[in-house]
Amino acid sequence: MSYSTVVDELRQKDLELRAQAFADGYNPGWPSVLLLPGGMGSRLIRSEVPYTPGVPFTNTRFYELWLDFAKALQGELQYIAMNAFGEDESGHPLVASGELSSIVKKYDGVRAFFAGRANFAGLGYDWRRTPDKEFMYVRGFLRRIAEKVVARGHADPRRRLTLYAHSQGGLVAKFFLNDVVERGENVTDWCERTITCCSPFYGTWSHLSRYYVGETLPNMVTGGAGRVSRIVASLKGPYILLPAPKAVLAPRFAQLGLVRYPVRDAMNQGIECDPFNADTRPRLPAYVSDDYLVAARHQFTQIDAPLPAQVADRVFHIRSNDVAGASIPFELQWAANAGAGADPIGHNAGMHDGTVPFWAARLASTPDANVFDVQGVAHGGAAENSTVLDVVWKLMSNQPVLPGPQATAPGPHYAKHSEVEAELGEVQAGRRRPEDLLALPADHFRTLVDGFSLS
Amino acid sequence: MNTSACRLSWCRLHVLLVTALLALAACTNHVPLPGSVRYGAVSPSYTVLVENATGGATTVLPSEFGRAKGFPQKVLPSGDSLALSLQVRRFGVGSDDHVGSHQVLDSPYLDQDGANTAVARLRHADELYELVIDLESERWFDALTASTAQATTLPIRLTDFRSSRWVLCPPEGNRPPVALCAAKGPPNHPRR
Repeated sequence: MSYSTVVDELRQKDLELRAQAFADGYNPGWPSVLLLPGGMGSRLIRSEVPYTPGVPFTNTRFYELWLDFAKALQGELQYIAMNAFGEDESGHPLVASGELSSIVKKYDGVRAFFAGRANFAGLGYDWRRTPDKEFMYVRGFLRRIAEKVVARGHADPRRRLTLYAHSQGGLVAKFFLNDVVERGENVTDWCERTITCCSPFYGTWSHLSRYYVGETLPNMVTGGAGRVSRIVASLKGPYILLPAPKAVLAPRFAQLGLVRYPVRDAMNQGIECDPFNADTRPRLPAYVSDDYLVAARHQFTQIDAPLPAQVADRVFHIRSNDVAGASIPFELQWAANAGAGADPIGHNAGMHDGTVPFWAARLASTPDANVFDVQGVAHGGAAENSTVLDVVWKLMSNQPVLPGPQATAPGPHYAKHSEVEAELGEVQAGRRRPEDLLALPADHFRTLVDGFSLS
Repeated sequence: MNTSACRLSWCRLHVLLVTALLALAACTNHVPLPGSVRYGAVSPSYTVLVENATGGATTVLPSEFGRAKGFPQKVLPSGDSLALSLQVRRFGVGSDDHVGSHQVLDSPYLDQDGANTAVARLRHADELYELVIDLESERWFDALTASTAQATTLPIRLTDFRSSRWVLCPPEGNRPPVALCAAKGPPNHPRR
């Protein structure tokens, strides 16, 4: 019995409980929605006891680690670190368990929207691991809900099921679809359609900085930027959030609206900075894993791989530009020598949603008619935006949706990033205690958490 | 409007909120994960025979079990083969689990990596790759192979590292009763 086997058993338990709950509340008159949250939008629960090799693991007591604010303040975010074998460094198994639910209830707007219209389930995945393995839990969960719903005398729910994937969840969904095709199966046996929202198929612009400067809030409570950067580097999965290699992007420039490789040297725009290129490697910190870079490079090829037409026709993308007046392709600018502790990553005034470049939020091979654009919707709350959900519902109801920019309704009203950053600055400067953050208004919490937890 | 009352009320509310949140900070958000694991059938023994046809040496790294038992890294020169032992076990979680899942039993060079997935880790030309074997099929437990006293050999000719998964081939023609096939990949799947 190995560590990874124990973790798999625990995750199957979680899926079984969720499938049971889904089947218990199933309404055969409704379609179904399976939400795949954004990258760090999945909850991770941690065993209260460690795994001991050779001893059967029978513990059933866990607690929420990611993202319980109290645990974060106590410095426990350090426990998300993994060793080179994909095991939790602390030896206490961590299990993906639904979407985030502590302090900030993520995706509550999505749940509220579908209440009374669709059967709904959220499927957490371990975003620290690679999506090319995580998709198997989507497959397993769909098998579980199908078996339980059919056992209750209803038709297979997968025939009318929409995979609704936010951000990194879209990458998991793409690997799931690749696998269905590779097995020679009929995609309609698994789901009716897949809709992605702000998914970074060709990378994000925000993740690269984390290898240098960590993340503001975790830095404060987890030992500083140096420690957080190393924890981030220990996680194999998020390497797929780096900008895609040139070898993958270059053949796709026209479909994605690019004219050149969009990662450039900050001082000399003539220099391309492909993070997967050996020439660029010296720019990355030494603790960044070369093995994980190789794995991410391989996965980008698989993410970009075109799907057969009968599958691609059932794939839809919603992407957002949250930069008023922007119309040029987004480009990252990477300084060769920013100095210790500084963030070498900047960007131009191109289109993005706060996390994902506009051009990265669609698969190049998806038909243009299946790509819908919204304006002014920030990445974190995009899946809950009413205009976005209106597009999702129309697609689910087989109503026409015009491609191209949608007039966007105001999103949920959260605090401005600048306000929350100012409050964090107070803590960083020692003028306020980290515990004082617990007294922040709810919308400030939302901004705070969305700001770093939804890649 | 009585503004002082409003202020007082707001103050009280604020104090209550802060108190509640501080209390929240002090407690742990427990999440039970009940249910026991039921182990089912164990498959017959298989030998995954990996032939290194990549043109260069490849090193096979030991699994967690292998490391614990002291198995070394195996350097596989071009043209050589390595036998990896594999047995699959069926398991279920809870009393109402009729779907279940499969796991790899202790093997010196194969690890579980996610649901229904076994991997061997290979280092080739200074890069780390994975040979991924899909365990989902019920055919791992086929009675045909169960009657075989010796381990069934599943040959894999490794020419590169492009295949995403190796799955049990669908039964057809004069193929051996059980064999592994490279996942075909979507049409126009670009290969590195």
